[in-house]
Amino acid sequence: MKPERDYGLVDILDRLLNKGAILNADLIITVAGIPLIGLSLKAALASIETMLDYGMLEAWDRETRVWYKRQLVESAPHLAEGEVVHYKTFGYIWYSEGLISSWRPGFWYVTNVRIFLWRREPEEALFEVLLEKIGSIEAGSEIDFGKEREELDMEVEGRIARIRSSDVLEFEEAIRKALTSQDIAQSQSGRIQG
Amino acid sequence: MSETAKEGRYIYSVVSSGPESDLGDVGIEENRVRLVPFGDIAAVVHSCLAEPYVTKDDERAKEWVLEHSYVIDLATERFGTVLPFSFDVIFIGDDEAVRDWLEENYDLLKGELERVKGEAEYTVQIFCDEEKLTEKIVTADSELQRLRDGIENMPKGTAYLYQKKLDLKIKDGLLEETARLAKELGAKIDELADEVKIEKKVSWVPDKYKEKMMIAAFSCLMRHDGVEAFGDLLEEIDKEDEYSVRFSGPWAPFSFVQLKGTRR
Amino acid sequence: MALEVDERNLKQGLLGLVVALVEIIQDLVERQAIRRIEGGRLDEDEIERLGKALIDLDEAIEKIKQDNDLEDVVNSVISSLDDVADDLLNKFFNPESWAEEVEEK
Repeated sequence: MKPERDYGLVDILDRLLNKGAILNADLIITVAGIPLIGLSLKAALASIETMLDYGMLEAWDRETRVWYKRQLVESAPHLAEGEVVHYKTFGYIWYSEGLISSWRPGFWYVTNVRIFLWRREPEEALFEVLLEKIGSIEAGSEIDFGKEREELDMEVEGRIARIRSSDVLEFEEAIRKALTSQDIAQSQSGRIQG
Repeated sequence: MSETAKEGRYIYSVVSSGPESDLGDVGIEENRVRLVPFGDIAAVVHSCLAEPYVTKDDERAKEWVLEHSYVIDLATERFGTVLPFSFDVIFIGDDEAVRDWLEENYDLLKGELERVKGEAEYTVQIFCDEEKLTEKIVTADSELQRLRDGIENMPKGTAYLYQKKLDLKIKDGLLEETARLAKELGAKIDELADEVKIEKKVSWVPDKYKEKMMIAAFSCLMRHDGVEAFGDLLEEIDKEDEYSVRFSGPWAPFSFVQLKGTRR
Repeated sequence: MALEVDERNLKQGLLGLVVALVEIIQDLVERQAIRRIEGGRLDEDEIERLGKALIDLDEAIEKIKQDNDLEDVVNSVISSLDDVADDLLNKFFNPESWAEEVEEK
């Protein structure tokens, strides 16, 4: 009968967590010597945590930093001919469809033609509206999970789009500027045509 | 998070030193694993912060553990004799600190390395199929057989009591049988293994053994040349219908390395 | 390791303890009964009546366990008691291991 080395993670886990050499406490930082609590991997791993929140934050922190880094590395969305970006900011849109409701993140672009929310990976326009379709905009604050957050409500064809960004007032300003320039452009073209 | 995070060395094992001094980026989180030598021994480490590796992410933790295990296997391959460390043992300090520790405890470490040289850890678990073993015991004993056959024809209350009697007798039989096996095995193991450690609690068994009763679990430190004979012995037991043997190894001597009483 | 004690698991804990003890006593009574049968001190009718009474006891215990979801608690109490007993017996027959354990601590 030949011995096998193929029994997988838990055998290894058992050895590495419960056996093997350890050192005196003053020499090292260690979490060794804590017995396995249960049979599941989750329980086994729980036994090696000394600071619960530390582990949680670290992972989230790293993940978030990676995401941001990827997002910031420039790769612009597709613009139409003659389209110029006036303002860009990181923000969210409220999405509610059936059972799913959440704030979806992306980059807001205000151009001379439209306003859209663009996500780089996977590439997707999460929201888009031509300037002329915008009814009204209103900036205010909402209490969300005990924190006061600034929000911009945009009325488009009878529906309200809820928007958040790092500086909602600045965003509002940018949109209004874009709308007025459009008005000027339209009236100009109107005069030219008319 | 710490303001002045100190330097640390994640220690995987102590080895009898060899010519190579770098194992490559094979460590946890792709850290570079190297040797910190002192004389003819060395510590296998990677540089890190003096903070433990903790995570709630199962996948990540799994990776860490496998990476640590891999480094131990690699070290065993390259250096032969390895004193494996537990997961997440991090030395406070730098290479100098590790070297100092190696120097102060040279005799102990060298001694341990000599002790486990040429040996590996093997784990044995023996399971029995209770039903099959019960059948074996009953058919071997005419009194028990008569008892079992008789119960079918008894009135309810009486049957209950005689069934209990049968159960107790079978239990005795099982104990006798396993004691016999233990004695037989024990003698042979003494011959072949240099050290044996009985496992009081086994945390997990593969699915195919889950329904079975475990009657023995132990680890032994054995020379490479003793493994075949040991395997043959276990084969004899495994061949019997009522028993299944789980034989795993070779492992680095996790259960047998004794570093208590290192100085400082 | 903090143990959350709420009304439910306190009740379960206490009830589980009681039921575990009853089961142990049940086991002892049954063994006693068998010894008496073997010793020829009971006639057929007595054996049958005793057996039936023990069946009733067994069924009652099962029902209490089921109604109160005690199976796991009871098993764990009995297995802990087994461990304690094993441990004590071990020390009794193998005093060196006891000495070793004390030294380790």
